[in-house]
Amino acid sequence: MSGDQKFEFDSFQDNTSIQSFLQSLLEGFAKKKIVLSSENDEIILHPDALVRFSVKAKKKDGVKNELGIKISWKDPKIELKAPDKTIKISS
Amino acid sequence: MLTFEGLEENLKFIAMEVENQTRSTVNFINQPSRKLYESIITKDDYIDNLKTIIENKCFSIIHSEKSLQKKDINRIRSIQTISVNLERIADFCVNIVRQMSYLENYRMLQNYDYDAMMTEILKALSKILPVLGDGNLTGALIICKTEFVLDQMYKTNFDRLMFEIKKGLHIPELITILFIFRYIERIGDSLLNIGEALIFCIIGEKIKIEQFQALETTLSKSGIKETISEIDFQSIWGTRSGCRIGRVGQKENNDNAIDVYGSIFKEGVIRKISAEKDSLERWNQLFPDLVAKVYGYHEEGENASLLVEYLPGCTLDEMALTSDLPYLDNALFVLQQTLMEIWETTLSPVPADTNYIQEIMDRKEDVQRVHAGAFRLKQQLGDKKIDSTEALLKQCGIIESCIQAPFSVLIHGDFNVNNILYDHSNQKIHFIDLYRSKDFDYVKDVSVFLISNFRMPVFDAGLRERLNHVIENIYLFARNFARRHNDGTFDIRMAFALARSFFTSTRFEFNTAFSKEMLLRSHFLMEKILAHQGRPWTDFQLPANIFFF
Repeated sequence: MSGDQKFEFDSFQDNTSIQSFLQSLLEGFAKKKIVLSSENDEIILHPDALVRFSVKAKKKDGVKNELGIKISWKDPKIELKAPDKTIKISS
Repeated sequence: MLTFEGLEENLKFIAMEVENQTRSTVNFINQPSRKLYESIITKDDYIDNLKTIIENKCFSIIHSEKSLQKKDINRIRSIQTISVNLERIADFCVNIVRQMSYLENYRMLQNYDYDAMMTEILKALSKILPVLGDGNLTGALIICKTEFVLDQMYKTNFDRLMFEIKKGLHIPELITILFIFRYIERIGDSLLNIGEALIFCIIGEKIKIEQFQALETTLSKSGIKETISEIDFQSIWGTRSGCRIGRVGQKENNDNAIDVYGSIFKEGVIRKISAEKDSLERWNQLFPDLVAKVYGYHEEGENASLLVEYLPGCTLDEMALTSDLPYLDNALFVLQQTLMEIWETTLSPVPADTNYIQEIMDRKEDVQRVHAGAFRLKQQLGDKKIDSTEALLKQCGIIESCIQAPFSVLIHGDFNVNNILYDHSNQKIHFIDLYRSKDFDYVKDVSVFLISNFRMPVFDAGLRERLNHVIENIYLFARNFARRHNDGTFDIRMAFALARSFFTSTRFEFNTAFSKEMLLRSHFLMEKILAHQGRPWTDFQLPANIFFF
């Protein structure tokens, strides 16, 4: 797919309600498919074997907390073909 | 009398010249001549120059004279407005004279009553200098009213001209005559501006003539004998809700039955002003010292005006942000005592149906106008479905219709922190702006109070802490009241009411990040309500810290 696609969601959650969002992402990784949609727009992500995973945490003035989780990867452009298992020699 | 030598002299000249120019215009209409035409055009340049000189002097005096008092500045501003409008009248005269050249037969104009209109204009012009000199308010009002008289006369001539045009003869001439009458009518608009500038100079207040008349009538109906010029009208604040509010005080003390010194004059649409009057009367019967006394009320056309007692004190938002903590705590204590007395006295066992979600729906267009992205669309994150704002509102509305407040009390109806006054010397709380007052759920007043603190765009940590302190103080007080009265649905109603106040407050907030914070909190509360379905609403617990920023 060409062009940029974007999905944004911003909310308040508490310790209980946030779990269903994180759980949904976990399941997406297990299935190697995460669908993010907003009315008519849809982004389908396929996290595969190699993903970059970084975590950043911050505590400011003793009260402001931030936990940043970033997961990124590139979709392969060329699909590698598995070599044929049989060799044919003809003359 | 205060004068500005030179400037006053110039004003005298421009007023005389414009009066002469108007007289010459009448003469020209009666008997056009090349000589008079040229004289009028030349005189117009002189009047233009005079206006520029006066404007320069006005700005230069305001800029350079450091010792000017407010009334001096008002006078200079008035002189500037008067001269600009005089010059405009002279321009209209030139326009009239120029239009005359398009008439094949100038006598055609004499079939219409321009003379009466020009006589009115000349009368008004001749009053300007004496009115300014004597500070004669009645004279200023007469100048204002000239516009109304001219409008009526214009209408009569306009109707006649239309009737003639429909006959299909002499159309170019008739249209030219119509233009001439239009210019004469526009001279009336400039005279109105001059009259209002004179009122401004005399009473020191920018006030529209309709508001002025309303004030005058209200004062006279209140039995106040002074002429309006003896009253010191001082605008002290404006409101977002479209009412004009000013403080009326007496210039000198005298023995009057009503304490005119320190009254508040309000003027606005009948619905709002009469609701406020009725509320004030009801509150006065129940709690005489809590709200202002009504001195006078008057309806005129679509508007009404109200004269009420001026209550001393600081608004609670001023207290929260500026006063020392012990004073603030004292104010909060008095507020608690006051609320307790009101709620206990007026508590009636009649349950109240609330409409917090409906109030969001009613204001959603206002919110969207300011924040285009306020409404969330339906979303999905993996298998997790996220409701749209509309869906949240719809479902919450259904739930709310099943929950009632177990009892009603007399509520303020717009219990914003700036509608509460604290009079420290008398240790009293006063309520103002009571036009939405009714028997209802006390949670409404509490939630509006809490969010009116929260939504103050104050981001300094120390000040925020004070606001949080006020919020916590009144919230805990209200929660204790709920417990004492076995109000089991206090938390869930508070969730609805806070969702409403967070949401609708954003229509006054242009700080995108701050309004988003409030919108997201509103969404969070609605999601918490939906997540609680299936369990008793009396078990619902308000999310901790929801109203602390």
